[in-house]
Order: sequence, then structure tokens, then C-alpha cells
Amino acid sequence: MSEYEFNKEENEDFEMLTQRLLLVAITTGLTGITGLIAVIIAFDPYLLVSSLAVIVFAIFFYLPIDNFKRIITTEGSDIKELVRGFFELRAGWNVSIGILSLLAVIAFIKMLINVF
Amino acid sequence: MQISDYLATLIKLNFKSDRIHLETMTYEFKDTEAKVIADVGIRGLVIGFLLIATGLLDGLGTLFSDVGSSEKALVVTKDIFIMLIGVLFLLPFDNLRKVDTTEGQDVKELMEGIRRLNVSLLGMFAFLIVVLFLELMRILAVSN
Repeated sequence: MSEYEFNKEENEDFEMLTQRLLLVAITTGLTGITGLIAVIIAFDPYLLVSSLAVIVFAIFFYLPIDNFKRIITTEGSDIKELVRGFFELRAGWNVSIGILSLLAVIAFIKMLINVF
Repeated sequence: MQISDYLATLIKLNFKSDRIHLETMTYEFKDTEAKVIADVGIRGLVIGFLLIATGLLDGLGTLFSDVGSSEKALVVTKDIFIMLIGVLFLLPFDNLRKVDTTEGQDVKELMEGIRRLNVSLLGMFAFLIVVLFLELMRILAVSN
């Protein structure tokens, strides 16, 4: 099958996706930085790990933007760029799952300490 | 240009558009491509559940802690919004997973997944603004 090209309407959805990924990446990054400032004022190991994790998530939201943008701006490589974008997202989310699992364990231990 | 020529051009363009549309409906991703897209769907579900679990555990831990009531309220509210962000992660990814499991619907499922992801990202942005605001309030509360 020849190279597939997304139509105008589909390109608009991808354009929206890049804009919103950027918006979420910036807001997530700011949330992480704010958390780190809070850690400096009053040290909390859970907040330190979660703030660092949030900054890492911001990077993972940002990474695939370039590929999704190229779906709109280039011709003849839409599927290639789409799969690369999803590949970046998958790699980032693999790491996110690891970090979130660690956070869940820390939150569980913190809860046990506070309850008992 | 004569009106008849103009109409003929329009008919040709429509015909071309129909062919593109037909191509859209029959496009199938290769197995490796579909797997990458579906993997993002599955990981999105896992992230959603982990965010809900983390928010719930941290919220419960904070409720039983000895921090001040105003700080407690701020943290628990923040955790509720983190759980809501987790729910947003769950919404778009069923369609992405279907790209690998169904046939003849790949682009349709992909675009539906992208549209749901767009809605989720907008919700995440709104909730993150609230989380950011709560974090700033907490800093102010702790520093005073």
C-alpha cells in the first residue's frame, strides 16, 4: 500500500494534539518546579520524588510533539512520523510507569506510617 | 473559465476526494506499527490506574497525618485532582488499543483515540492549573 496521507480534518486534530501536548508539558513542568520550591522550604521525601517525577513527565509530554508536527508540515511520511511520535510516547510512558509504581509504594509506606 | 468547465473541475475534485476517502477507510497499519500505537493505549491505562492509586494512597496518608488542617485540605484536594487526571488517562486509550485488535477500522479508531486524547489533554491542563495553584497555596501556608 502506498504512503498514507492524513486529510485536512485529521491534520487539524494532530495540530490540536501538538498544541495541547505543549500546554500540558509546560503546566506539568511548572507544577514540578513549584513542588521542588516547596521541598526547599519544608523537606518532604515524597514531595521531592513526586516533583522530580512530574518534571520527567513534562519532558515525556514534550518529546513526541516534533513528530506529530511533521505529520502536518511534511508530505509522504505521515505514517512514519505518526509511529515515531507514538514510539517516543511509549518509551516515555514506560519510564513513567516505573516512576509512578515507585511513588505508589512510597505513598503506601507513608500511609502505613501515618495510620499506625 | 466557462461555468461548464468550472463544474467539470468541481466534479473531478469531488471524485478525487472520494477516492482519498475510500483509501482512508481501507488503510491498515502494519503489525509493528499497530503494536506501537496499541502499546501506548495499554500504558495509558496503566498510568491512569497508577495515578488513581497514588492519589488515593497519598490522600489517605495525609488524612491520618498530624499536619495542620489547612495544609491537609490542600494536599487532599490536590490528590483528588491527581486522581481525576488519572481518569482522563483512561478515556482515550481504548480506541488506540483497538487499532491492533480490529481490521478495516484502523484510521477511524486512531483518529477517535487522538480526538479523545485531545479532550483529555485539555482536561489535564485545567486540572494541572488547579494543582499548580494548590501547590503555590501550600508553599505560602508553609512559609508563613
